[in-house]
Amino acid sequence: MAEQRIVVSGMGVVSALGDNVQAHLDALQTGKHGITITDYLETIHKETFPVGEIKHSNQELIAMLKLPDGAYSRTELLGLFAVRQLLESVNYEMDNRTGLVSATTVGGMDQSERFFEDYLKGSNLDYARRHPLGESTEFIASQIGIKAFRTTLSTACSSSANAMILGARLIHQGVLDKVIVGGADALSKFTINGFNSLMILDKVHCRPFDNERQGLNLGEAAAFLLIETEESARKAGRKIWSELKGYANTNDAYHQTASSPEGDGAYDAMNQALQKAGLQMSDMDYVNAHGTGTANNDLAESRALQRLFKEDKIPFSSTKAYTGHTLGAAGAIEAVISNLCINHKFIPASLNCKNPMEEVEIFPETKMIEVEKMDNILSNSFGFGGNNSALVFSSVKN
Amino acid sequence: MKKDIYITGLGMVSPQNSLKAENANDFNKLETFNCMEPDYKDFIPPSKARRMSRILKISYVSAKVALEQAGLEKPQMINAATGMGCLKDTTLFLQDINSSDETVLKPTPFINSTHNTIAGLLAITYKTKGQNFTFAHTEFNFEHALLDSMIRMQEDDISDVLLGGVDELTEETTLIKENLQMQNQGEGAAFFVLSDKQTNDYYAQINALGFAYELDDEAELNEAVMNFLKTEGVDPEEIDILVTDRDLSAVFSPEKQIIYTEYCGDYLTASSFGLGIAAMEVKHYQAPVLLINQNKKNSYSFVLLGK
Repeated sequence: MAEQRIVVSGMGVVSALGDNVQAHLDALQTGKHGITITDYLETIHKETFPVGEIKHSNQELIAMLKLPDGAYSRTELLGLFAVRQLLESVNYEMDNRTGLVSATTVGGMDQSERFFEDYLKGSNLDYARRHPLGESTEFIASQIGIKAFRTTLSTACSSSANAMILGARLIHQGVLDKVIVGGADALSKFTINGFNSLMILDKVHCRPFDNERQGLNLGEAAAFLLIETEESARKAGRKIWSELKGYANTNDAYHQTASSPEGDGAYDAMNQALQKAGLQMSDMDYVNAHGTGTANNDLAESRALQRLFKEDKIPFSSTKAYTGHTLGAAGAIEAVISNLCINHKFIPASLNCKNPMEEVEIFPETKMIEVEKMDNILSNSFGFGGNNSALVFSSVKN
Repeated sequence: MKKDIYITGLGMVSPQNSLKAENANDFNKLETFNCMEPDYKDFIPPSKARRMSRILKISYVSAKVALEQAGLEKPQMINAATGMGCLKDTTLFLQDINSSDETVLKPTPFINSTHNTIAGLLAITYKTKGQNFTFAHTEFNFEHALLDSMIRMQEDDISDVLLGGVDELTEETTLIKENLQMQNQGEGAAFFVLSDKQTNDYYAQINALGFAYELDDEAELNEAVMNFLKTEGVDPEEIDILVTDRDLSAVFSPEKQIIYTEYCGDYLTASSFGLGIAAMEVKHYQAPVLLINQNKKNSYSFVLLGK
């Protein structure tokens, strides 16, 4: 029996580019990025490291979500914001065959870093209860009435790409009929200081794939997609954004934080995702690269891309200079972006990329281009722990 | 054609002497639940051990023992589960940020604070280039890692998986949990090799895994257990041994009930220890075992094991 096609039939997103899907489309098509100095995060690095920040305070988010006052992590507020938007956009009626696979890397850390000493003394404990990553998923599930399978993945910066992979598998195996998949991560002092300690934060707007790149800009976001079988989406009359045609997760098995010099894990992930899709790299109309702007990632990824491109010139770009690197949400927000590209037939620009990298012969698209054909997109997400994921989205006639 | 899935290797570092245990009789009921740590020199080259935190060490030892038992050098994929992740390094980095006012920061605790550090380390150690997932949910995260492993073995060309659950207690988090009035805090690492082929001294076959969500009362739980067994074609009378996180004798009372949390304490991946005991019991008594785990929202997971 042939496997049923898994399709994307709804999307919700919030990031530095705006509060909804349309705002993301507008920003990407007009070249308007979201990288600024932080207004909400208390850190001595405020003026040093620009970030992709969502311009709503937690209080504003609580009010917008009409939640009672309480102890919430920013991660779960952002997550609920994107999930509700997704469900409202398709007038979703919750049922007991719908599950949730969410991804995050910081969870309630944005509050724990404020109140850690209090926790030890026995105060502000309501925030301590919100700390574990799974709590943000349980919070979203309870708010939207999910009573079936829900889980949380955390594989660093590939987390939400893996959430999409797991969601697709759960549908294929009949565990669930529909899955809300995605991820959320808030900006935190923990991650800013963490990436600073590794000396991979750029002090200016990041420059993925530029020879002079100095590192990444952190961002925050939540992005969730509804996936189901094509049959199920058609029956419900939902718009089909794309087919999730291929996916793979592999490991570099090389180093905890660095990619192997030749990008072997990245190569394997892309190769296996293409195989699963039954497609070749030459079938791809666009690659949404991981492209963080760090010396190590962009070189390893470029080498892996070059090996797969062979003689072909496949357009690619990184959208990290728009959103910042949103860690656990990155795979999902780039899945949203890929779906926008398929449905609006365009390639977003790799902002700030001027100087070709010395070590490779490939160069990203630096201007937004409208195209005639946009049928297949490969989207990469790579993370610490040698974790590499690739997704293939293909156009579907509605 | 459905593949059979066997537990062919099992390693546990727990509050018990579990690296030497053969069945539940070798375990003692405890009041406090900190791991009995082995002499790491016997398992980890010192040059490596120096750079490893405690949670990495207990995971590494457990995984190594499981792989050795299974006679497997290189698993095809790795699925790990951890409810709280690498707490010691997370705490160290947080305290470093606060005490240095964000100025003098060593990157190592940050690198090691990531939840998937554990599975990443194992991938590097065994050169496993296949899938590497880390589940970080609440109580069922280990069962989710098991489910995904079983799916990959059925759906794809995967014949063996290194699967584990691990959580650690630290000085600081013990205090916070006390402040939260959480009782019986435990910790431990349990790693398994799942294989589609039997070995001479394999532990058990995993026949089925199921979930029942947000049940109202014991009657509903009883119904859910009966339905689960019925779907698997198993007569409830055949189940002699129940391994559970808490007393379920009012719901389902086979000959023997083992409450595994009395041996390992409560933690978000305690059910991995439960699966370890269940597997040992199957091997020792050659009898089917039902493992039941509950979460705080009255949801349940069921694992059916047999020879």
